[in-house]
Formats: sequence, C-alpha cells, structure tokens
Amino acid sequence: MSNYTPVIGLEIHVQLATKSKMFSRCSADWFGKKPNTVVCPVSLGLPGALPVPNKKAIEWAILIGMALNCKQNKVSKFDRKHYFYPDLPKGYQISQYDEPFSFDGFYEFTSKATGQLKKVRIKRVHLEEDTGKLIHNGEQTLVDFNRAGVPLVEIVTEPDFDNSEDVKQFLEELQTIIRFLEVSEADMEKGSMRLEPNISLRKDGETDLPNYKVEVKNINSFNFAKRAIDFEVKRHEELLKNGETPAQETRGYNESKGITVSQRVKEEAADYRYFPEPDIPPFEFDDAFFTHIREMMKELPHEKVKRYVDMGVSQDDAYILTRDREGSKKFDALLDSLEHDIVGKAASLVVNKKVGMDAEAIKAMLRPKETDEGLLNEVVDRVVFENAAQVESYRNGKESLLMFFVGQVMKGMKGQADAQKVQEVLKEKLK
Amino acid sequence: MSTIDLDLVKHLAKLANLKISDEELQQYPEQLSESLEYVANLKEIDTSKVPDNFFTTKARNVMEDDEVCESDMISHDGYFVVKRIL
Repeated sequence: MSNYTPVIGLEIHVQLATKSKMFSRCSADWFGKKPNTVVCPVSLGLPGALPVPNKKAIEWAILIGMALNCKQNKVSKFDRKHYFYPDLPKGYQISQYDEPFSFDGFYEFTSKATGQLKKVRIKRVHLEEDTGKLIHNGEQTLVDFNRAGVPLVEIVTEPDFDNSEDVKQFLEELQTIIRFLEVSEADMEKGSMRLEPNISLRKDGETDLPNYKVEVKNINSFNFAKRAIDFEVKRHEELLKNGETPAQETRGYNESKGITVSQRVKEEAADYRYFPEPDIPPFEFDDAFFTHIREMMKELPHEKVKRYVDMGVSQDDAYILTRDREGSKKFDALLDSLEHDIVGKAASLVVNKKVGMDAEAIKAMLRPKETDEGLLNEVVDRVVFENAAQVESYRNGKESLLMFFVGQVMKGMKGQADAQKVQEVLKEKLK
Repeated sequence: MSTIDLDLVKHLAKLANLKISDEELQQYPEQLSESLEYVANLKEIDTSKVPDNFFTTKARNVMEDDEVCESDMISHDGYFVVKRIL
C-alpha cells in the first residue's frame, strides 16, 4: 500500500494600511463605515474615471518583496484581469500579470513540527486592488463598494509545504514580518490578511507535481487554515486510495462544520484575458528608487532574534519577545537601561511574566540582597494593615495584587530586600 | 474553413456575459471565422523587428502621494461634490 505526501502552496493577500486607495485618492479607511460612503468615481468604476497609482502602496509592496528576499522588476506595469462578479464594478480588476513588482524570493524558518530548517520559495509579490464586499442576505446579495480599490498585496509561494503545521507557522511569522514593516495590521479576522491554500497529494517519493489542485477559500484564522488543510488532505487520500482523482476546483471552508464545500470549477488563467492596463503608464524604476525603499526597511523579527541571542538571551526567549511589534519595541527600550551581563536573565524574567518591562524592578529582582528579616516582617505587617481593601480583594482571588504588595514592601525596605524572600513572607501573611 | 466552432462561441458568450439564442448561436461560428480570417491578413506583414507597443505615450512612473482627497468621495448627503460650476 502506498502513502501520500501533501503538496501545499499558498496565496496570501495583505491589505495595505495606506490612507488612500490604490488608484484614487478616495479614503481607504473603509472598515466599519456606512455601506457605499467611502467610494469615488474610480473605485465605483464610473465611465471615464481614470486610475492613478498610489506611490506609497507601490513602495510598501516592493518593501514586502524585499523582506521576502525577492528580486525586483526594474520594468513593471499593471494589467487588467477580467471576470464578472458583482463585487467588481469595472468588470476587471487592475492587477499585475507578467511583470510583478517582486519575484523569486524565499523565506527560511526553523520548523516547530520537524525541528528542521524549512525554506519556502516565494514565487511573486504583486500589487492589485481589493474588490467590494458582498453580504448574502436570503435571496439577495448586497454589495458594499467601500472596500473596492483598497491596495492589496498578493504573495504567492511555490508549493513547498508538506504539512499544515509548517503552513501555520509560516503564516504567523509572515504576519509578524508584515506588522514589523508597519504596512498593514494583517488581521485575519478583519480580513486585512487573507489566505488561500492550494492543496494536492502525490505518492511518497514522487517529485512531479500532481495533475490537479484544490484551492480553499474563506479561511479567517490560522487555526482554521490548519484544519481546512488537514480536512482536504484526508479527503484527497480517500479519493486517491479508491482510484479517483480529486476534481480541480475551489472549495470554501465551513468553520462551524469543520469541512470544505465545492464552490465552483476553477476558470483557466487564459479566461481572465489579461492585457496591459492602458490607463496607467508603465514603470521604469532606477536604483535610487530601490535605495529609497531599502531605507524604509525595518529590523525584521529574525534579525531581532539574532541580535537578542548575541546579547545573551536564549533562543526561545528571543523568539517569544519578537512575536509582536509593540512588545519588542518595549524590550528594546528596556535594553538601553540594563547592564549587558543581566540581559539574558532579564529576558527570561520578562518572558515568564515574573516582572513587567521595568528596568528598576528587574534590577531589584536580580540583585542578590541581604534581607533584614525582622525589619521585613515589620514592613509586611504595616503594608497589610494599611491596605486592608486590597488585602481583601487578594484573599478573594485577585492574585495579581501580589505585585502591588511587593512594590509597597520594597518601598518600605528602601529596596534593601531580596524580592523572592519578600514574596514568600507576603504570601504567608496574606493567607 | 471555420476556425471558430460552436463550443468556442458558447465559451466566449459566457466570458462576455452575453445571452445568445440558439438561432443566433448557429450564425456566429461562420461570421466570427470570416472576421478573424480578414484580420489574419495582418499576419502577412513581417513584424519580427517591431517591438511591442502597449503604451502610446512616453509617460512613465505616474504616481500620486498617499493623501486623501475628500471631495473625490461621496461627501455630501450621498452626492459627490465638485467645485461649483455655475
């Protein structure tokens, strides 16, 4: 009996957080707004309205490509992609076909699933416009064009994944990168980051791509991505073992049932009748333009991890500290006021939530102290007496107040006490 | 010789979002093939040394800064607003 290996590629859409839309200076702040109020002649596709590209959106799209180690096309253009759907007012989407801004990149990460270094090839990173939003309502579908024309970056990977764990980890790390670049909130629930995996199976040991693939849409969390892929892999396996080939199609993920459902037979690429967008002159970028974008590059999460590790932080702690932009910024600020030799221990305290991002508190915790136990008992008694209300809340279960008491006692001890010891005595007296 | 068959006409009609009656449908393979053959005359010209020409102006790198222009949008009781014209 033969076994199968999944072959998974990803198409990821990221909405850019520009102020204005991709091809008009209509506001791009569409989320939660009254339907069809954040629209203009261009985003509604009114006859005669002419698109003018948003410079910032182009710079940010190229920046994402650079962060994913892509090459850049010096000559590029936009193209029209044609299809009829009610969320697309012009009957075509302005996208990029054969000259995307970025192509041929890669991203590497240490797989939590296999422990191995995983390299994923990035096929292309291009820029396009988002479509309107459809709300299905009984026999009708309601169309809101507020989202139409918002800049959308499409990132396409090669089919280099063979398990759903790696997909989930890659998506989480990609989201972190996008957020570090400060070009999008990349929020799956709000739809500013969207994912369409394409999945097929081949026999173990084979290297040719299977003769079919299934695309899954309507996935709005990383966990659902994993579950949808796992569901598909199992479904394909059963079909293949019965001698059938799964149909080439688009399926939608139903999160309440945890299954995928056939949506439509996929149109062939040629059916989109791509041709160069005649209303937007082409681009011929010079080195100065790319240099300007490279200067916008931020320190990326994996670079930050390396810097922290070089300063004595453990690999695991460094990884955890670099998962969100604000947290890592706070840790960076903290580093300025810590001596080099305690950085590793400080990181561990912060990661394990023993202490907040407070240099003085960290130093106090790490400083070995001679504690005057007699004085400590006196101070603790006084603090307990003076803060009766907090003591009651603590005894009723609000344990987070412990740090408040520690602070009060440390103040009373003028910092001359071992924090560990202070906690022990406090816990005893607060029983 | 017909280069366009019935299936292709149906496919094109679908892509163009056109409803075409069966009767009309029968005429199209021949008519469209004739048109195509006529245009195919152009193939006799040697264009191997002529570069692609998608864009007819010399304009390049046309972009705008990322600033919102309120008056471009529906910004007054459901109306688009333009500068008063009369």
